[in-house]
Amino acid sequence: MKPYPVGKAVSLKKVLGIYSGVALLLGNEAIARGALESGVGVAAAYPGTPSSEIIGSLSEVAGDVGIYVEWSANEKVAFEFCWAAALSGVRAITAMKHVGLNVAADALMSSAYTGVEEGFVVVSADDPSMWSSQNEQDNRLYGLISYIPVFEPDSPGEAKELTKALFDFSARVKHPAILRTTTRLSHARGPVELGPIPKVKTKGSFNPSPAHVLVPSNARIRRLELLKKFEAIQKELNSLPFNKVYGDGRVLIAAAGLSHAYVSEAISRLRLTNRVRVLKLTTVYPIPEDILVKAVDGVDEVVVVEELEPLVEMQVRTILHKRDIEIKVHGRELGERAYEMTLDRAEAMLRRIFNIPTTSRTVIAADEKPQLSIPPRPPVFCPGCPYRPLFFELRRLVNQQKIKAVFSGDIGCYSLAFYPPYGLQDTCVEMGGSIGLANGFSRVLEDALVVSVIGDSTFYHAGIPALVNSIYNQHPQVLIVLDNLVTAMTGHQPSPATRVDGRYIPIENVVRGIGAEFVSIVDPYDIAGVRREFLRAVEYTRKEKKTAVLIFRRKCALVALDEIREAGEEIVPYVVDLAKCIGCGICYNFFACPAIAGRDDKKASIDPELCIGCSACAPVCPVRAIQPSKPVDLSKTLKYWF
Amino acid sequence: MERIRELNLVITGVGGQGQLFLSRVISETFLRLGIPSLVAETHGMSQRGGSVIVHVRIGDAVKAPTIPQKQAEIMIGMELIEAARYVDYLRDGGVAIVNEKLITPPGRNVKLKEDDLLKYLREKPIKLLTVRSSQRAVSLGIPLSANVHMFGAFIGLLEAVRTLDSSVDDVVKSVLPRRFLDQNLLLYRAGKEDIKKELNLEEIEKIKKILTEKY
Ligand SMILES: Cc1ncc(C[n+]2csc(CCOP(=O)(O)OP(=O)(O)O)c2C)c(N)n1
Repeated sequence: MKPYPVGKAVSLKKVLGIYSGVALLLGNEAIARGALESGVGVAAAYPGTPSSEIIGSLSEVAGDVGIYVEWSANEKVAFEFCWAAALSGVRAITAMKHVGLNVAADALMSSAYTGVEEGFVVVSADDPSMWSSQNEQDNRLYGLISYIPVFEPDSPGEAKELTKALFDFSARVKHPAILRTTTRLSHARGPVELGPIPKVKTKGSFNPSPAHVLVPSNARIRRLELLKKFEAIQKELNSLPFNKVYGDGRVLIAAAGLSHAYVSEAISRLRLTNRVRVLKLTTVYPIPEDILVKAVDGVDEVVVVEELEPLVEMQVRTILHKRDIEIKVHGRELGERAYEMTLDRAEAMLRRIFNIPTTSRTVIAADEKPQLSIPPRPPVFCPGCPYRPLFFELRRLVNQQKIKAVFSGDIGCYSLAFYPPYGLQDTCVEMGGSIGLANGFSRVLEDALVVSVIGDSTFYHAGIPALVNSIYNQHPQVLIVLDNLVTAMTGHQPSPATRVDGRYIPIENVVRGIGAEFVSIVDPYDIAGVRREFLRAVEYTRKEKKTAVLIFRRKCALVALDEIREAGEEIVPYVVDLAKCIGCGICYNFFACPAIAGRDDKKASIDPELCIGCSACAPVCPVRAIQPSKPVDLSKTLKYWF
Repeated sequence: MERIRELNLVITGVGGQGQLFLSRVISETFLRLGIPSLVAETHGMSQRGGSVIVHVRIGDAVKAPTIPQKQAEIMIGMELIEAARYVDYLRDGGVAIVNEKLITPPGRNVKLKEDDLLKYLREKPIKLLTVRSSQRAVSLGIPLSANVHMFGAFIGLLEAVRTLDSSVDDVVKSVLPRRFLDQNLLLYRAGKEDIKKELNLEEIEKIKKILTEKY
């Protein structure tokens, strides 16, 4: 193993000019590298954990390589962008989190009917255990419904090789390919062999064909073509070098995708190497039939190891049944459907098959169970986050005036307002769902005020159609748009509200264009303004029975802070004047900035390591005890916040 | 340097403390020593001040990205509550290098004190080594680099049990960030020294046995 030259930090950009040796790359960076080594011409995506680093790292190198990369408004739009490129003979990659493929599913289905002219790789990054997601769907199942084959690698190194192979495969069979990863692969950093990056082709040509016009008369023909094509694809898959059979024994372990990494290690840990044959499956839908049939020759049992739904197990059973092969198949009944694969789970399956007892070493003794209650630590708004003063003030207002309200929330950093002390997200379901549910709530709830809350990126992603509906059908809701000028949660990708070379789409223009009559733009640091405008909006919806829109605008603190630091401006932390502090706890219990803590005497103190000098806490103190640690002119840095 | 079959390390702390950077510096160091590693990073929501655990698996036999409970040889705990939360990832006799820094979750009225957590950790069947990485970093004027001090402590531990030789320092120079390199090297060396002070001779043999059992 030869590392690439010393002195280079790790990132796709840093290894761009290096064509051999081993680099430590994140699974997602490895996929991006694979795309580059395949001569990808365009890449487009909407961000979503755990997929974001694929297009994120490609966008970092786009200028150097001469490819076109964009963050699109949503997954469907990104998918269509890439699909058009592939229809025109330009290699394309799009990547999305599992739920993103739901948004792009309409396009996905039709793409199987049209096929493509050049390689088109669709990455679906699933999130078993829901580390950063609202659900745990298994997107391998999309292969079944769309007739698009699904592949899953078992290491960052293989992810790169597989990406390359899939571009060639897709170009050869003129069909899209789904590369499925999971959080543990996308976010695993491991050794990856670097290869050369060829010259790219970014321009193509489009040849009109009825295959691209899915009116029913054409679609009926395409449907039959698709079935034929899929049969041919099924045969082709048998020759893909990533599926492998190795070892020998009376038990066949069929391991799909990343599960192979877990189970192969479990096999050597339990010293079963000489007792099992392993079928490593990279083609998870459809599985290669000929390889399976050969692999079961001479074994007594098959154990299918996979995460989430029993998709491979179903296929194994079907194929064996069809071929009249009577072998016992084990799968889901040995393992678990919910949550991700672990070494423990893989080991447990093998222990049951081979009757190996568990050892005490891996079990936590009862007397070791915590005698200390360890407080939960969900993510929180960062110091300086513009959402904190907003939700602080809204909570206070709702409590003081006993406002009966339903807060129809959405997905973004502001989802954290669900947690104490704010408690201001009554629903949080899927992107755009805030305004959509509020449409319904506002019509069926008798006496509650309905407030929907959505971020700028989510607004542009899926909020607009719901708002069009709200305004056209006159639903009495107060819409709060949290315009922090960026897609913060997923790592600060641009949203259409982000200024790029002065270009952006102001949310108020869209909202007014749709026909909203009540539109107010407020700085969330101005808590008096928050109160005043919120009450005005409530009054308007109650009286007029129409939609009111409040836009709270201030930049994500992490971005602002970066820019302030970059500009070399001084950051002056705030301090608590202990002589003035009355120990009321408002700042640390209800405003709850991570930089502020309560002391033993109940007075507050500010951690100078965490405080970014944003000033947002100063106005919440009833006795004005919070002040800058030295005189500071905040107007000098104000421009970085808007 | 000798090959390693398997060495399992968890890095725990609060999102934003630099666990990812620390894990990258470690895996990069081992790569340059010719030893592969696999790191399960934590991205997404928990990086916003949430609870973070990063799995670092070093060695030739490693394939799976995560470490089961009770199977890590080493924990680097950047914060006390998170060290307590994940301490059961350590195998019996495993070593916890813990930064004496408490960050209470905001807005939850948490009353835990440093001593409660240290007591809890001490009662576990592990070897607890405490360091003052945050303090050290503050006093050297790079408050956000406590992770570099902890990196030094980790390397110092491996050196003390003689699984690394001093050539590692040259490698470290090439993997630490260029920015503030001098202060970072000072902090790294301080980490090495500080951890060695925590270890006595008879313990070293015991620890060596645990750390290298899966080598
Ligand atoms: C369909 C879908 N795509 C992507 C995501 C991932 N995701 C979660 S939050 C978010 C961004 C939210 O940005 P914004 O609305 O601007 O709020 P912010 O995080 O900036 O507060 C994204 C892309 C998702 N959950 N669902």
